[in-house]
Amino acid sequence: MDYTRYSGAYSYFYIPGVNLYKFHLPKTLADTVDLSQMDTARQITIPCPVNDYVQIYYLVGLMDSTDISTAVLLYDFFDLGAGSASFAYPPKYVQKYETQVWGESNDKSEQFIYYNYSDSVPGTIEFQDNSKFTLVATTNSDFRVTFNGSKPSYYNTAWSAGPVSFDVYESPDSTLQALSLLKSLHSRMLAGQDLSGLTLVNFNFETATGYGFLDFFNYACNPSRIQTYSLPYESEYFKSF
Amino acid sequence: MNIEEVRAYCLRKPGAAESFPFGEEVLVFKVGGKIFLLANLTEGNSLNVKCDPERAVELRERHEEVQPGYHMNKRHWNTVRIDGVLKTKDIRDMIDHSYEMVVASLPKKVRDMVAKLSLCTIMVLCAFSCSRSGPVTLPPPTQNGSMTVNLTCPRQAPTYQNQFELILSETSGKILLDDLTQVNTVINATLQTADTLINVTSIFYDSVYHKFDCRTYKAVNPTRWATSVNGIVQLDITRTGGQPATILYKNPRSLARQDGISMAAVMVGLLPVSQARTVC
Repeated sequence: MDYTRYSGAYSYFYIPGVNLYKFHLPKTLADTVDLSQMDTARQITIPCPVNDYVQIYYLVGLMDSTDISTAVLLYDFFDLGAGSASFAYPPKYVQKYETQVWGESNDKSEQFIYYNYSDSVPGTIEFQDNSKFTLVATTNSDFRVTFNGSKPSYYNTAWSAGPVSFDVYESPDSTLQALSLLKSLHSRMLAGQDLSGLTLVNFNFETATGYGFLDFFNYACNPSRIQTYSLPYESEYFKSF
Repeated sequence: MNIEEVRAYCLRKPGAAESFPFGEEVLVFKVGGKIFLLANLTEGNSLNVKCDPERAVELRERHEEVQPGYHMNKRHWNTVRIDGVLKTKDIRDMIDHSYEMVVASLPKKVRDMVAKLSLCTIMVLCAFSCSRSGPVTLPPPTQNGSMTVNLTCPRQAPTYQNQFELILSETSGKILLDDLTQVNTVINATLQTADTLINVTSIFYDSVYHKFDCRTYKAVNPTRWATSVNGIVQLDITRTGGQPATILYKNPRSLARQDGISMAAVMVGLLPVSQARTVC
């Protein structure tokens, strides 16, 4: 098997038919791995919200939780069924698991992202849903949303006018006049663009446990912080118009 | 270009994944959960790829091998015969176009993830540690009516121009800074404002799709931000500088009891290496 070797990167060999796996830390550019002793992967079935389509975007295992170079991609864009998701993962040798699962509603108008970083693969997927909010007004001069129950870390609206897309991130307590905000920027790059037809194309919100609006972006706008600490839990909801 | 070459080409695309959702005879490639190519393995000489409707018509007129999508929406999909007549470059262009159309239709977050895979950013592992204190606390209010920011902006997508516009403004609308600058350039500025919360806006131009991407963070305090656009909350395990290598897997005796052929998923570090077919 040909591959690109990075220092510290493990290889992961998994055979679904027999549910066996083998980790190996390559020491040379031409290693040999003995498969006569393999470990058994753990089958897991996660109950998923009933959606048309659910997929593990990725499942990453950190062999050493203090050294990101030991990260191994265990699953990458892996399709799951709706209702429940069955897959296998290596229960031994991995110190931390980073899991991201994506789902889509039957009519494709809603999407859900679930993120977890912990020392185990999550046993449940907690997607956000449309019972968590009420859209009060959705025009470019008046956008208002109320959140039922706990508030998310932020909400985001995406607007479009011809070739211009406009994304606004704001506090869950905030209201928006998208057109006047965009015009007030007097952007040089957008000079001459007709913004009058600005319409809402997407609404989404994100909840990161323990992170309010300002804290979240202090975190998310610092790549080095993202790399040195991963949020334990995060969940996002998207609605298209 | 044969089906194996098509497969290899598709798998090199950021975020591309192959699957068989319609049975073993139809090879499907998706990005971000959306299909950008289907290939019938029984015949092995045709593909279905997504295409802009106007371009689809042009291609069908120009190439006999390009026909309206078989079993697909004929306005948006083409069936392309790969029997040696079409040039490899033409087939690759059609695959590229299909992939790019699908990526462009994905939610921004997913597009960002795909773009991140394609950028293959160099990771700076400075004092990596998974232990950390809790959420960041706010800085003290600005003093003497000023706010100091130190921001850069990484390239957001491969198709974006290097130049972007950074606008910092008060929530009342007063512009504090408006700078046309290059990505990855540090902007160090002291803003004359008594506000502790301001709006941060970055505007990019996509020179392939001819679109503007404008992002505003309303009422934020960027004094502790490093970038003017938020990153994706996930570990960045991409890396560069690897060396070509091989692994020989031997003694798969434990598999010999099974039914002859098994599919094996093989990963090394962050990249799926292949789906190796192991004959026992």
